Amino acid sequence: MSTVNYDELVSKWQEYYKQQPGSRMFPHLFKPITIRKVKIPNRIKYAATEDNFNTHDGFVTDKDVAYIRERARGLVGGICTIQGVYMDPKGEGKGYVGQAAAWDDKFIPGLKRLADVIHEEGAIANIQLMHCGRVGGVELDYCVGPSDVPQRLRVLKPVKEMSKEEIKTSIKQHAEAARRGLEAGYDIIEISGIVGYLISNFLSSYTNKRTDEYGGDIENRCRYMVEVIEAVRDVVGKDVPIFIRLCAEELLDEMGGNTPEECMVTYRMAEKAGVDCISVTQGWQESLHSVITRDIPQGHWLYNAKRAKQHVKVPISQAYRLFKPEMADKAIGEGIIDIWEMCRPMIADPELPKKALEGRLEDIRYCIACNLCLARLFRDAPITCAVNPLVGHEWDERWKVKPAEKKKKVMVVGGGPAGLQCALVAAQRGHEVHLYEMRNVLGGQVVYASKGPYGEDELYGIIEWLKRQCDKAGVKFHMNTYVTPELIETEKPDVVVIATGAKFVVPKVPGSDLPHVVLAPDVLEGRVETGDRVVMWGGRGDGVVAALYLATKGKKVTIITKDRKPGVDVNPSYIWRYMLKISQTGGKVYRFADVESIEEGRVIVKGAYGVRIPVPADTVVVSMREPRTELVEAAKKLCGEVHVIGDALVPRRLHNAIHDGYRIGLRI
Amino acid sequence: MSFNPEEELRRLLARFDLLAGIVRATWYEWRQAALEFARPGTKPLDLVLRAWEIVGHDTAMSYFMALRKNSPTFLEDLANLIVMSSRAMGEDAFAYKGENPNEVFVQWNECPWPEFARRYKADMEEDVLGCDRWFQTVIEDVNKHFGTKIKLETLKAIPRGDPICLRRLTMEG
Repeated sequence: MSTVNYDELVSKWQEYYKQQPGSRMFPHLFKPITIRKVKIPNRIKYAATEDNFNTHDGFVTDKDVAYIRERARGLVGGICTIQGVYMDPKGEGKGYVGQAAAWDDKFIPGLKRLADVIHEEGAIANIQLMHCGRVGGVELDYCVGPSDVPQRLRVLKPVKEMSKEEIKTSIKQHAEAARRGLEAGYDIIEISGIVGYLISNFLSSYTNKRTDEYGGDIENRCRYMVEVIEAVRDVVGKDVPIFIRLCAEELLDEMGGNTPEECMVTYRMAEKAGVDCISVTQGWQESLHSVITRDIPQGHWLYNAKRAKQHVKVPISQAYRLFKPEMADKAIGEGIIDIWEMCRPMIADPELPKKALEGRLEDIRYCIACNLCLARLFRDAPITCAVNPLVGHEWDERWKVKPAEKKKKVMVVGGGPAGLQCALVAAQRGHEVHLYEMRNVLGGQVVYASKGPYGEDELYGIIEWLKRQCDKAGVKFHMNTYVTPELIETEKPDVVVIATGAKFVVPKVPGSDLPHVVLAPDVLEGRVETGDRVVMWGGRGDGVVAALYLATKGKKVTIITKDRKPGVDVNPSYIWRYMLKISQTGGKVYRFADVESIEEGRVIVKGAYGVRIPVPADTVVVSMREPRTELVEAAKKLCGEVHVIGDALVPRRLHNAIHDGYRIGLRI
Repeated sequence: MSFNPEEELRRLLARFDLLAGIVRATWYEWRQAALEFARPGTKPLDLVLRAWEIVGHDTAMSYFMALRKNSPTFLEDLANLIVMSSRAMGEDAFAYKGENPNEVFVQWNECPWPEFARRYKADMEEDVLGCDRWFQTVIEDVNKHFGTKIKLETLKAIPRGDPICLRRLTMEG
């Protein structure tokens, strides 16, 4: 049982808050709230985040403990939720290979380690119970649900309909896991009922086709959830809060899911059954609609929290595209939400709430919603973060920025993400760092990528953050400066870091020197106008962004890619909607294909089956890149320590560049 | 470089025909191998029906992405997907609306599968029932996924000596 003295905890934090500018900037965020007997010092909650850091048989690892400690520390007294735990020995409810378990008392010590570090950092410990339902069975050849409704996504397992006995067992397993949570010392028990997990499967008319008392109308479909809540309440007693996460809007109209009104019935039923706080979510993994990608404006989903407030009296919390403290503070002040939840923003910056409290908004490293974390999770890999290279390495001292043993003069050539990140870490370690950029703008490929439509400008935030931090760390910037061997010779650095990125190149084919053959960055930066019919030569991320940009301008774009599909390097949560948008404007794709020749008005494409296809084209946009390595050999002759990072090594994605920069910054 | 569109299309069709032939031949060659390794007494028909059932589940999953429950032309959309699949397999098929509302027919004028069944000495009835099992599995999965009540009946079948294959799709409600 939790031994936290809530009165002491709240008064300790409130005293601290008073000394911090953030408590005046964000008066609502740093106001305490009491739920049952638990007094919570502020209104910030780290939401349950699967991370795949634990053993495949469900035991908590040092890696997860260190990861959670960082988040708990950053919460400055808020609620820290551990990842959802699965509760059955077979793993039917297990949705992620590294998911922690709570199906036996043998897991209590590991769960206690997490609760202990949360308490040590002065935060409130919340354990989430998560049966993944039709998203579960990750290591089985099936999963379970209320009905055997076939899956929409091939990655998910075939669903086996649960018998009544299995339903009762599952309810009991929730109660048993709740008991283990209490014994491990958690202050709050949370139940997950979202995105396609078991409770949501029972609630939804899409996945619940039962004809017994657990199916039929919405009241009956709520029965499983109600019995779970009641069983957990029986175990935890009247003092411990029970939270639940529920969909306010499933976004499953195409499959016959619940209406938003039915979702509100589930809220009322949950409240009646005894939950003390509802986390408002929207969308399912099987939904066809964007929910957490950049095309959804920040704060967009607050309307669902507003709706929830009209239906229930218990406190409401919300995450999902609500990244900024000013926005969350305003929402609390206006009575839309009571608690601000964060998942990805605190993966990107575990100190986000602390920085807000200290009034250091310029230091917050915002999530860019790239969903690399999710992409890795769904591929059974531990999560990482594009902008926070330390994720998953919090336990490892070798990954921490520590003063260098010997101070060196470092010349970083290139002001893209790799160069900036490397310069930052090197400068933080005490080196004298000079960063050279040949253009008058920092960001490298991010400059082009952020020109894409649908909120891609958000990407540039990481460049601005890196610049600010580099300035603070004392990096000296040399803009509009092209680094030559002579400059290296003159400056005599101890270390040269080549972060010159990649250059766009036109492969040599008949007609590739014609004037209507142009480069993607020239199009994205408005230096070149294209005709109405465009061939995008190259279908990696650069080509997809440029194609999307042109499609929104009404151009008919045909992507020619050698790959099995366009955007093989683009995050799965983005590429399908990008391609949908391109196809909706008349765009086409030739895969396993290449340009054979270019003529006035058309391109001859060599496609699959060795067949040649004439594709009309007023403009051919080239989006293929190769490393810019002109300086490497000269630098090696002139300097004893040379590193090549980012796209200058191999053209890849933003996270590769940042992680390269971080690692080399540590090594110098 | 000279470019002759007709020659390119002819080449593409030739290669596509070859591919479709390989697919059908492979189907019967796998059937033969599976029967050789099957438990004694396994009936070819049971094996084939199970195989088409597996294919049906996979086909249904690909249809889910293309169908919308709230579409007023849901049944026609489904029939057109069946037509698309059939054409991709080298069959000559088309869909048309029936006299009754909520009734759509799919008609096949040509189908290369019976020829392969003959070539590999498979029973013609196996061809009909296998095809049926495929479609019935698709319909069953679509009904479960979208909560619809669609039925499919086989009215005519080329492998049974009819000049065409004809299937009727009806939807309740």
